[in-house]
Amino acid sequence: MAVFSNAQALDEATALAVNCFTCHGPEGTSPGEIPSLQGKRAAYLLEKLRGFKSDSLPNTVMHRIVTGYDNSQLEAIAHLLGTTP
Amino acid sequence: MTNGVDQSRRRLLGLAAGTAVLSACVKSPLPAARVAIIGGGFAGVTCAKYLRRFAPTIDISLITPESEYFTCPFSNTVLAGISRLEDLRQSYQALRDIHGIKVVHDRVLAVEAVERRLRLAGGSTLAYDKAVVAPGIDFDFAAVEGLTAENSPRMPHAWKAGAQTAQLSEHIRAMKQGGTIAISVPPAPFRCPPGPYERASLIAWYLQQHNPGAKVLILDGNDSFSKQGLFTAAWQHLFPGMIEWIPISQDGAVRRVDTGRTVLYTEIGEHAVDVANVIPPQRAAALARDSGLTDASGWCPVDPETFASTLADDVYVLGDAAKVNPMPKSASAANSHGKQCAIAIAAALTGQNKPPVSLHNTCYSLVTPAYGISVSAIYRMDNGALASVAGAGGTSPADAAEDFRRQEADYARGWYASICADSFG
Ligand SMILES: Cc1cc2nc3c(=O)[nH]c(=O)nc-3n(C[C@H](O)[C@H](O)[C@H](O)COP(=O)(O)OP(=O)(O)OC[C@H]3O[C@@H](n4cnc5c(N)ncnc54)[C@H](O)[C@@H]3O)c2cc1C
Repeated sequence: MAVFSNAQALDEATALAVNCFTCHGPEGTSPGEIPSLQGKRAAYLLEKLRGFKSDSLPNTVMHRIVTGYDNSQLEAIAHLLGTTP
Repeated sequence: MTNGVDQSRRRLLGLAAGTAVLSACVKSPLPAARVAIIGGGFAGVTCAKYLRRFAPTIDISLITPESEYFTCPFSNTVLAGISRLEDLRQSYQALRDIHGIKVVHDRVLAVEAVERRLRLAGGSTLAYDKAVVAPGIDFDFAAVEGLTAENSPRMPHAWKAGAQTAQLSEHIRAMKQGGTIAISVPPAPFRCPPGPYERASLIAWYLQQHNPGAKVLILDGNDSFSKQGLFTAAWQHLFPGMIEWIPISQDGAVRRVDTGRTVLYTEIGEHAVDVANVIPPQRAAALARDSGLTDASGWCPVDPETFASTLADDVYVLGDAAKVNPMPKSASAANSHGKQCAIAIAAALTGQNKPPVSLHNTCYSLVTPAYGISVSAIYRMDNGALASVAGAGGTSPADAAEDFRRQEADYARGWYASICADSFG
């Protein structure tokens, strides 16, 4: 998540992704019972987000949240938060 | 307004006011843009922290009276004896030491938007280029006859966490066996729409173990409430006969109180109870009203795209004090406001384009330590107004199994740990 170490681009991906940190912790590092996003690959995060959207992955609140974003927004979030390759 | 923006932008870019853009090569460093953030609650601290990340070189001050903050989220667990007041304590140390925010412990008396300065109770003034106003709510005690700020501790609201949380907790523990606790809910809008019903649940859970036969009476200034179906079903299942809810249409709204005899009067009824938790009607905090930032509703109108006040230039209003319909007044919303406002201010100060605003709210409630429910929504601009994205969000399913409720209770605790770290850490 090196993207977030310096002054960060004021782009749509940033405006979307900072919302994740409310529940998943600062920089996606969760101090408690909610899964961390830290250190996850972008492809893995995108697969999860898509699975929540189609409700094919078990979840409590993520389906309700992810439905609020279109596919390109989910891609932007996964790429910003995830590690590559 | 444009004038102010230009001046702040020059400061940020190290340009002297009035010089042309071409003189960007001036050598002497000039002061950075100054952003003054008022109120060290979830909205203010999140804005300060994220503004630092988006604009690393500007001068950010946070002005808040107290050196520590007790969160309202999870304060209902203190009433139920699950946690201690101590566990809710947050400090401003990380903001100061890690994020380079100047933390000033003082009370702001007024935002003087024309002069672009703050007047502080300590006697000084503070000049700013942008001011962020996030002072939370005040109680309108006078709206309930017989209730005053002075006698309120006898019927503690416990709607700002701290001394009154401890007082209400003591009243609950000292109540006679088989007694009745009344919770008076003010008319909407108020801070934390599901909060009174989470409170009723957790108090019932406590009473079930320590004072069987005791009851919770909810006297409501409204006819419906947040997560109503989920709460009602859970109460029937977990606390049969323990919680009674009287809506306004059935004479539930408390109009007058007798704090000496612990009696609550509705339009035609009267309820003599053993413990009263009277949550008064609410409005934006005094600072917002005294600075001309509120409208006739008592709340602060803002442009939800940026959180800029529609009533004063270079002033932004966030959190519970702001009118950001259809978002509820919650810590989750306040945290989201803080981030999006930080983006808007950083963009304005550096002359960058701002991405579209993206807001989010998820509120968990605990019915018991092992039974959680949630409500969620995603917000974006639609035809010039903020709207929740259709088809997204909503409440936990009505027919969920026990382990789903247990997992949401775990996530409620996880949410609390995360938002505190994201905002104050
Ligand atoms: C019982 C209860 C349970 C709750 N549970 C949840 C929950 O589970 N989830 C959730 O999302 N939300 C919850 N909330 C709601 C949440 O507490 C509020 O929405 C949130 O605190 C709003 O943040 P804020 O920064 O706008 O205001 P506040 O947190 O009230 O902070 C305002 C700050 O401004 C300071 N201030 C005021 N006036 C001045 C001045 N003149 N000068 C300088 N500083 C000033 C105050 O001292 C305070 O520090 C709950 C609320 C209650 C009452």
